[in-house]
Amino acid sequence: MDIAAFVTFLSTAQDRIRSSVSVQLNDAANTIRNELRSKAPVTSGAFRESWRIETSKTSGNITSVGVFNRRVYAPVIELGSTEGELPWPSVETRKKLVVAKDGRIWSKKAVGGTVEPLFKDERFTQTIVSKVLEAAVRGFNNG
Amino acid sequence: MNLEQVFRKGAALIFKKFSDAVHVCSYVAVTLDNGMDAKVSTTTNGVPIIFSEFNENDRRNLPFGSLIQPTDIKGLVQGTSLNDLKPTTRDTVLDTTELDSLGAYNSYSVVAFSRDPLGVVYTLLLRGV
Repeated sequence: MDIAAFVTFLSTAQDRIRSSVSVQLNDAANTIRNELRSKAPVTSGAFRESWRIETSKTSGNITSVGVFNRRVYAPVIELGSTEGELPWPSVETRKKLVVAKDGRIWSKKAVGGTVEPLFKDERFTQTIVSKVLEAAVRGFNNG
Repeated sequence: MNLEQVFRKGAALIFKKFSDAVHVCSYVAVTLDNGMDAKVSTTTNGVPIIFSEFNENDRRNLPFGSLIQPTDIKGLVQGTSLNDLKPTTRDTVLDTTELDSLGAYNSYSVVAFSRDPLGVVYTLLLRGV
């Protein structure tokens, strides 16, 4: 590669990386959403089906994707209910559905929520991250 | 010029002076906003990070001093290089400066981090993945 070609290669690197990681980030978001759906506590299925992906967005030199759930009761599933407050003031009122742990009341099917435990799984997080980094390298190399 | 601007200017100067120790890296962050909105972000251009070793002073004074292992690497990164990203212990750094003997880039987990009071420079505890 001569010097002019090398300069062109470098000057277009950011676009190539952005395009490559965008595809991989959307793929990562799909994996995360599918995993969260598989871990969702299911009664009607509405919470499980409400996981959404915010497709990749770029701001400055950062490209990102998001996965979120806007069901009104999603915060209670993810963060638990405070004792004495609605919707689950005590375990006694909903014995079949809920359980108390660490001073909060949780759905029996998702103690500790679903998102945080998923991201505490280092193997899962590392797999997602490795694929994104591989995409960045691929984007850089594919001039 | 306020204190933060002075710090930023100083940090930029240090990164310029120590350019030999600067590694160009990709940075991937996994964040949980409000404890429930998952977000995966990555930088799309090289992030300059100064790689060095931890010394006894670091072990004594850094908030994560007790976690430092002999093979860990100290990474210094300017907050401005990471835009809005705030480091977390789920992040990974890929050093794209040089390939290792197997022809792959080295990657490191962010095991711990601290920041100066103004958030100008982050000190990362990096451990090989």
